[in-house]
Amino acid sequence: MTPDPLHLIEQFKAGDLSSFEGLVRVYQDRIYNLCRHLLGHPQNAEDAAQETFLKAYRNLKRFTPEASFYTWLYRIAVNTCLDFRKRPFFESLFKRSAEGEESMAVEPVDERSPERLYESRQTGHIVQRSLQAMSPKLRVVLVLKEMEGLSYQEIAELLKISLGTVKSRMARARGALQTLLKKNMEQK
Amino acid sequence: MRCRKAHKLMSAYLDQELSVREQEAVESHLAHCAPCRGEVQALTETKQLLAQAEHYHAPPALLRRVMTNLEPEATRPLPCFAPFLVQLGQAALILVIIGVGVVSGRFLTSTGGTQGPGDGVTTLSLELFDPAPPESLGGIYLAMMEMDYEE
Repeated sequence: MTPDPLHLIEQFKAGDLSSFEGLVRVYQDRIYNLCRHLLGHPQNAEDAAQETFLKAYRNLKRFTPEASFYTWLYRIAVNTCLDFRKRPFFESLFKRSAEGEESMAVEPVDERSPERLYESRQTGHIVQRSLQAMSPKLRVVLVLKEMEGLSYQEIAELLKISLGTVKSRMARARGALQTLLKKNMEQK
Repeated sequence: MRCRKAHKLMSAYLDQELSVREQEAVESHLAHCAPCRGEVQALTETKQLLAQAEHYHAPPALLRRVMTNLEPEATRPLPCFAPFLVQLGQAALILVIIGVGVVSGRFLTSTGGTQGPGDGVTTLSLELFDPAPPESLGGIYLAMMEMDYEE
């Protein structure tokens, strides 16, 4: 049974630092998945996910239960990923990873036929490549909506932008993605 | 509703993020606009493609990396702006030293009367070292100064 995150946070604030491990176990998949879609490269995603949890650890005592913990953690992850992309050495890593590197993450067992699996993986690579070619501002809203299932209101709160801006960026993001997908599909 | 307006709302329409009124207006427009219906269909396909994007699981090493890098608050390294504060402190100290030097110099050269530079030199070299034995540095200095003034 998944432990209650708020209970783990209470334990942490009461001095039980080991309860933080429980929080990492609960959220590591979602945070890593988010970082992976935002950054593309598996090693960068792992580094960003680690940094996210370390920042959360340092600031957890200041977290108040009135806010959603997941939104709070997500915000740290998104900002960490956006800062990651600004690092000067990032560009060379990004160029190396643009051609669909094998994931270092553990992949779930997939029982589809090899042909369907291959086709699905190819499509996935094209989608990932197209996502990485988008501007970070547009990619973030698209990933948060499509991959993480957040509502527009949640995205607005997380990114601290207005609802109107979310709607506008979502429309532009989808338009940009359509163009990139078409281009990458033709190059396939 | 015109196509331009409908186009702007399409993304939110697909995400079911429109108000009831806006949703009805878009649906009413789509009912008689084939190009816009085509646009909605294209957006739906894009959404479906995104749904095929892999869902990644965290590598097993991530938890271990996080837990081994946690540091207690007391041993946490200084924030990244600490070197800047150190440099600021050093600059402030230098300014204080210069300030003390300026004030001291003004204090030492200022005697409140109508004294020329010679008297200032005398003050510096005589009053501070008075009495200055002839064989001392102060005495030699005074002798040299007297010779200069006589010339």
